[in-house]
Amino acid sequence: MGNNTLSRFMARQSKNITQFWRQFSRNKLAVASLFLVLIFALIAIFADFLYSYDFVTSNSLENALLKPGQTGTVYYHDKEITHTFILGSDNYGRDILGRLVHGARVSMIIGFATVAMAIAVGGLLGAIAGYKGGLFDTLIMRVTDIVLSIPTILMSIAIVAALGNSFFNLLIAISTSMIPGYIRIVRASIISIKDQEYVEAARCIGASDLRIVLRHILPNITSPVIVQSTLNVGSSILWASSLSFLGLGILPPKPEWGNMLSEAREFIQYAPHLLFAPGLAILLTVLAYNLIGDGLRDALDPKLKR
Amino acid sequence: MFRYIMRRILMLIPVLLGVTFIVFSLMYITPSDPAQMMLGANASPAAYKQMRADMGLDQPFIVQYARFLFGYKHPVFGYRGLLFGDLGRSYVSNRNVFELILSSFPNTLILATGALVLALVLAIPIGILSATKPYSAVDMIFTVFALLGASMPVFWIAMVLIYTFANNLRLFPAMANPHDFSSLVLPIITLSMYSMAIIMRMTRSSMLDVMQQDYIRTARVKGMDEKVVIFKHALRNALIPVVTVAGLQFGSLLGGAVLTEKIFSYPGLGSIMVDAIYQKDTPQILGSVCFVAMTFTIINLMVDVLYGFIDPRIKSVFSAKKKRR
Amino acid sequence: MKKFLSIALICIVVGGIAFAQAKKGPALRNRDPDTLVFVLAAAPQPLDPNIYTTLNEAQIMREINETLIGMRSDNTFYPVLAETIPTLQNGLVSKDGSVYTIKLRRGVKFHNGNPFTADDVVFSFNRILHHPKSSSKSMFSAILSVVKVDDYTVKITFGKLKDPEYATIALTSWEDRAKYMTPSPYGPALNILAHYCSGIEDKETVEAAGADYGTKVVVGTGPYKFVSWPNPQEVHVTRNDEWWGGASNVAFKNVVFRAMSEQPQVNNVLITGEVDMAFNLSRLDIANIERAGLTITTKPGVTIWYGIFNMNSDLVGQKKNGKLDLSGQYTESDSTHLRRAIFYSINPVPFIRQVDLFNGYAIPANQMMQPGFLGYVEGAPAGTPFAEFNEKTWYFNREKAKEEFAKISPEFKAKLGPESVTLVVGNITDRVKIANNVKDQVKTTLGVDLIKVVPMVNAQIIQQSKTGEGYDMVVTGWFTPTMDPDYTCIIYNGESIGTGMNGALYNNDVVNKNIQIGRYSLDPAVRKEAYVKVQTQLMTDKPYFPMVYENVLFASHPRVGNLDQAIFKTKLVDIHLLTKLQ
Repeated sequence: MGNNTLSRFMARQSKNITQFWRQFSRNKLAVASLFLVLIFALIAIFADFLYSYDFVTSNSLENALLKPGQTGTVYYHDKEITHTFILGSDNYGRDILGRLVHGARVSMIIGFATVAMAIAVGGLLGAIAGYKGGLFDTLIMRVTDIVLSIPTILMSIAIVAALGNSFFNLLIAISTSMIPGYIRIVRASIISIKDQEYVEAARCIGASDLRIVLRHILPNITSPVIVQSTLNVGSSILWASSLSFLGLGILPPKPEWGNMLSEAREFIQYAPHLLFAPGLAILLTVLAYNLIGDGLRDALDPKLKR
Repeated sequence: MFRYIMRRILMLIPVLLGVTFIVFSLMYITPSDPAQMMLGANASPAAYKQMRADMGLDQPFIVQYARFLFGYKHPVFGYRGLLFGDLGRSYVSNRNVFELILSSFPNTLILATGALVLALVLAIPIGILSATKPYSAVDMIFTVFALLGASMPVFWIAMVLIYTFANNLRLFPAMANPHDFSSLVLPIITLSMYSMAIIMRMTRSSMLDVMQQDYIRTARVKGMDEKVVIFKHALRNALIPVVTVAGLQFGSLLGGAVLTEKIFSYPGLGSIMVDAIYQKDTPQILGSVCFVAMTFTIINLMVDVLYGFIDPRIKSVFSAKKKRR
Repeated sequence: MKKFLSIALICIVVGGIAFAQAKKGPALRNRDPDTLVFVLAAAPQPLDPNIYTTLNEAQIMREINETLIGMRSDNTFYPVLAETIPTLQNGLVSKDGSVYTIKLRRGVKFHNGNPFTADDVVFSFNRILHHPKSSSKSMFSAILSVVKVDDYTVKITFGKLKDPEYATIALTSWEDRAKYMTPSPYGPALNILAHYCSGIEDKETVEAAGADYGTKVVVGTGPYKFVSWPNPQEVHVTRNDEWWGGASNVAFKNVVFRAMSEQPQVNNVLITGEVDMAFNLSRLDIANIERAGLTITTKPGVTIWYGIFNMNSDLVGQKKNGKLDLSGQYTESDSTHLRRAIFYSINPVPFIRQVDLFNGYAIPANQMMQPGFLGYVEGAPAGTPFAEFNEKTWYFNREKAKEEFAKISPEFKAKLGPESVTLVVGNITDRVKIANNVKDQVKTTLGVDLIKVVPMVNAQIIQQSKTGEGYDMVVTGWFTPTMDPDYTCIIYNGESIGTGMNGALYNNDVVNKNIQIGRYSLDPAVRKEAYVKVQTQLMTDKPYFPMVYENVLFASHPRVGNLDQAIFKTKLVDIHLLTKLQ
């Protein structure tokens, strides 16, 4: 029974997907953004084939601040190699393009991991609050109100300051700021659906909980959650860079776009090429996620279907 | 209506207590050490122990938290407690916490108000324009421009603005100061970028939503001028969700001005709070966060009330609640 | 097409603005020509010198509260509120060297009109030593008593603990001091009397103001008086027209102190002319600042940047059967070889050249003592550990590093995976940069990425340094405001173990003994010999790697003059000595 429900659910979804794509592809900006994001994702996945991680995290102070296209001799693993710095080198003589490529990986991981954590925690809490109601609902929503009334940036700073500066703590700090959003979305969707006649009817004719969740509740939650999470991936990358600015982000020499930009900020006059690459990478990625998010919202919003 | 407002204000109390508990817990596990900081270099272990005892830092968590709420008696470090409106003095600046907040909060308020006004003035017309011609080139250009601001790290926007307008063109100063309007221009632009994108997006989607409604179609069928349709019929309804978003944005601007204040070395509450976290200045951070949380909640309440005035349908919420009581 | 054109136009305008040429020369932007704007690195603490010690308020306090005597950059002294400098020759220092008789300047008035008398001096020293919040207790701990002889004479007696065991007792009153201390000559006596923390405060005002003293009420005898503190980042002072030193020579009528922590932003406001003076600028853009017409003043400083090997660490320490093994001759072990291997892998000279770090405004350090101080070993005398040093490559020696690394036993080497040695560092940009440089040099020289850099808040580093747990190395800096070697010795004195200042937990009898000799002697020759022995022993054991001496660097608006006289080695400025150029 459960299996059957699932396969029918999948079949319905695939029909929905074609319909959705037709809607989504009307927004050319969103489609272009999607391609951009895919390209960055490929770069992030194959970063190791383009540059070795060890190489992009090794200093060679003799090659510091080379202009884009310049060539330098790098003393690397007891060997002297000649290397062309396509986008120039930073203040430690490291290849900016290489760091950008590896930074794509770290930034993407930050973006997706924080959102995944927020969806998992926020979705679960929101579902409990919406489904169970009563005391659970009151308790969860009160705590959400409390967390929401603390300025998010301060909350993140305080979390990193309290737990210490590490990659995982940074993920916690960023995702904490997003959790209340998901709690609210999921809870609101569930409450609005739970008491609808058709859900009650389904329950009356003996539909299983799984069927109710998959057939009626999940489709209604997915679209707002997808939209919200797409937008959040972008803001999470921005968030990480802001924390880097405050000295609480990913620690160098590990390359991440946010810390590259933040480290380069004093070079704005001296060597502007240091800021150009990570700044543009962040700008394009976040913009792309925002545009995709907008596109998704338009495509998934039943009211806008024409 | 009045009872509704009173009820919401009373609900502030548990929220604020929750805020103090969360912030206090976070500060408690922060590894920094105010006793060590006050003692300076090379303090003897005896002096250190004495200082921790004087400051009450050697007590268990629950005792320390209770002291922050109900007060602590000590000739130098004592205070009456948060519940009696006194958190004592900042560990770092030795100033009365609430005096310090009251002197710096208006500065943040100026900045946030300016940013919100700028965001509204630019975002609403752009949003309307985009919504009237969805998916056209105009829409695309405006969308991208509005989103550009929300796609750059705040410190980066600020730096580019300072570099261009302060350093090179000498149009505005690079250091902000609440008494000089020209110095506020750059920080306000910086701060408004993100809100502008959010409000613009909200206006656009809400406008699109309204334009689909039957009564707009009817108005169009009746042969009304498109401008009249948009400004007279659609806009009023489309602005309702925008008000909510603007209210929420104002709240987050107050707390989110941290980075902007830091870069422009602006004497607001945000930069004080960040420093206080680093220095584990618990009284200062507790007081400030409570204050911001309170303001945030009150602004939300005001938005809700305002909402009732704009949209007559909402008024029933207030009266319905009254009836239930 | 129209749309395309308009987009292109917007791009051109935006681009044009961004690349517009910088205007030459800083202007005075909307500013009063009589007001000097001085940038501080962080918001000042209360202006109460007896209690607060950080550098930020020191700059303000030294203009408000004067000390008994003053100190110049060349370590010579001049009287301020004292009439003469007490010396053995003029008889104002007792024969045994422990009692200093100070004749106070007559006719000096506080800003509120109260006369300055011996009572204020006794009161101020009592606050430094016995106020619960005082942060300079340890610096002044050698003071045994301060006694009023008459209204214009005080006797300050220096001493030491009768028994080192008493160090665990907190001395909270003059009676305690008399009970546990015995009179003794004290080497840095004049240095601490010249330290800004001993600025004299008005007894009557401080007692009346209570907890508001330092933030709302501030009173002193100095050339500037406190006006207001409108927000935490800004302090206003104005000229004290009744100053005993002659207010007519004080060029700037008002001074505004403004805290700014973003270094690149400091450069911007210097260039735009919004401020007059700053020391916490980004060194990277110095050429640009000079091009904009600002004056750069630099001097050797009193800050040393160094690294610590934790002697309690299993990897780089010096332990035998689980106990510290440092007194006298220690046995070489695997951890000794690893420590030396790391030591010889490091070369701080490239950091000095690194544009975004020191950018040339520092010199390589060959020992744990600042140049110009007593006991500083000049050059690289043969037959000493300093002989291995040279200005270009420091102690760096790739062959020696590899040789030491090869001596490590295979069992021990198995423990040395990537990032196995923990290097903690304060989470301040420059320090993290230095730490990452050290990490990279060790990786390049030894071929293993041994070091893991862990940034932490300073207080946590101090906390861990008390017991030596949780770290193998530290990169940090030391600043000697008294300009006396005794204060630098704190970091390797065995006495300081447990205070968190001796992060290496270094405890060598030769070093400890010579520090005591240097501290309790007034004879420069005796002190010098003792401190040379200390440095020689330190560089033999290598529990530290001194890296660089940082120079003091100030940028100032072209209208500010007389910088050479006014700027001190200790990053402080005598603002009342500055002149106004047209």
